[in-house]
Amino acid sequence: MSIDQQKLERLVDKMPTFPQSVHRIIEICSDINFSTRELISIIEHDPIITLKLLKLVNSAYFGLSRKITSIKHSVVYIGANTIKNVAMTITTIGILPTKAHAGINRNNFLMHSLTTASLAKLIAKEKGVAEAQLTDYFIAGLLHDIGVILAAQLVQDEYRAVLHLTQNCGMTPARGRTAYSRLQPRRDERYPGRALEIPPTSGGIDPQPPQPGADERSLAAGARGLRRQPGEQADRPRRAGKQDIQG
Amino acid sequence: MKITFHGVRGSIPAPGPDTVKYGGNTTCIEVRSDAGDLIILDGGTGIRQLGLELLRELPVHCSIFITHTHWDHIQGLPFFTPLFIPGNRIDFYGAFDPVYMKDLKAILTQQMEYCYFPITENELKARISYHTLSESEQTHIGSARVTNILLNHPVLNFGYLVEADGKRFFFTGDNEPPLNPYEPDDENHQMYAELIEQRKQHIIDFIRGVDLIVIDAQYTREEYLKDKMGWGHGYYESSIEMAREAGIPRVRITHHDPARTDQQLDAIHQRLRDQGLLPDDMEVEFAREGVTIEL
Repeated sequence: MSIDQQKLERLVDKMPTFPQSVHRIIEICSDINFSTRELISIIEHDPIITLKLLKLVNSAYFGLSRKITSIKHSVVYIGANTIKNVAMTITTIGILPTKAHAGINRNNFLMHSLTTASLAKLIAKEKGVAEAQLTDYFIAGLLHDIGVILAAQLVQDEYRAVLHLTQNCGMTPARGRTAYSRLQPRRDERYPGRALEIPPTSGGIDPQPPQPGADERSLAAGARGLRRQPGEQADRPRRAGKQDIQG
Repeated sequence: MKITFHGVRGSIPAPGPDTVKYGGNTTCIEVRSDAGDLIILDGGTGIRQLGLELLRELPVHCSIFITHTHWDHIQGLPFFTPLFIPGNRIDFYGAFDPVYMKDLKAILTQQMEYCYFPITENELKARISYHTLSESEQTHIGSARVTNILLNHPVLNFGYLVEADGKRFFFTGDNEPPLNPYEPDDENHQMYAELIEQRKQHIIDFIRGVDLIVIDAQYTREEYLKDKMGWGHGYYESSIEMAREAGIPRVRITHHDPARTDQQLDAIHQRLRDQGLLPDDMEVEFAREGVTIEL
């Protein structure tokens, strides 16, 4: 089964976000003297708002002459007040349920994304990456699994079936990956970040093993491995569904 | 190229005996190329008088570039008489509003909805077109070329570079240099500062060496630092410094605060001079309604 790009883009537009962020964004938007620092922090710690905001500011609606690769970059380039109002429109879409599609646990997903993001940034810093680029690594980690939640919503039945196979039928991670890839046969269709034209440094995260030269992706993948709990297997579909798959 | 100020006031019109010298109309600038091409920057209340003057040269063909759609930059448009006359051709240019997902036509049409104005947009008799601009897009108006750049204001605001007859003129619309929200000891401070510096250099490179800049500066430095930070406007010192860094010889400061009297503006200019903040190799004046500058 293939993922239709237009359908995917519509899905992203309608994607609800995390309730913690929604409440804080609403608070900020009702305060004329809001803190830009806090606004940036809220958005940077929410993979769905980050994805949607970067998608929007890099779209033809904004018509910018250069790619915006991070939330801080967007605030400097477009202005804090406009970003605040864009964030408000994004959060009005709705709140992600505790159990999202295909049984993905909302809070586990958020915690996993944030942990990976933080580790990717730390590793990048340790590797001597320039200060100005550290946010790119944070965002790479933050969005590295965004395809999971999108694919789970877009091809819900199939995704749930694969999770079931990998969790309950003893499939190896490799076989799980194969099964997963069968759901999305074309490379361009496999990674929502690429399909949505998020700039490579910020969002087009490849869930495959890291490729040579793809620094942010490599570090995000490394961070993802580091943050795994003891006994947890490496394969993402297996891990994502470990505690969360429904009946 | 000739540049004429028809409105230099910010925020809201400020008519009265205290604003006679600099004028009380909100933003509107007329640009004429030597070949007679007519470009109008913003449609604040100053555009009303310009419209009346244009009745002497019917049919009117003009291009109106909107820096942004805050009231003080569009509120004169329903009173721009050439819009009502058949045979005139008026082309609007401006940014899309990505927050409410509206283009310029939708915004200006809403401005003329029946509850706000007795004549609706579809009753206008001139031939009107609307063009949504992307950043850096170039538009050719006869012999002139207009290029925009995104500046910092609480809405998308395009500054416009007009080039014609071997001369270059830039108008910022409203602009406030980006602020760093992080304290110097915050780990994010340096990263953000670098992004601001990149942004600043991008703008400086874009406007470098223009013959004239008309630049927003609504506040004194003291006013700005006290409680106007983040409001989307520069202060005198910041705007003069921006022009100096870009090597611009002639500067006209605009978007005068509606509460600022002629006397106060003169006093501020004198103070800037006394403090040595007006470089000797630059001609820095406050923009005045009705004044024409020929490049």
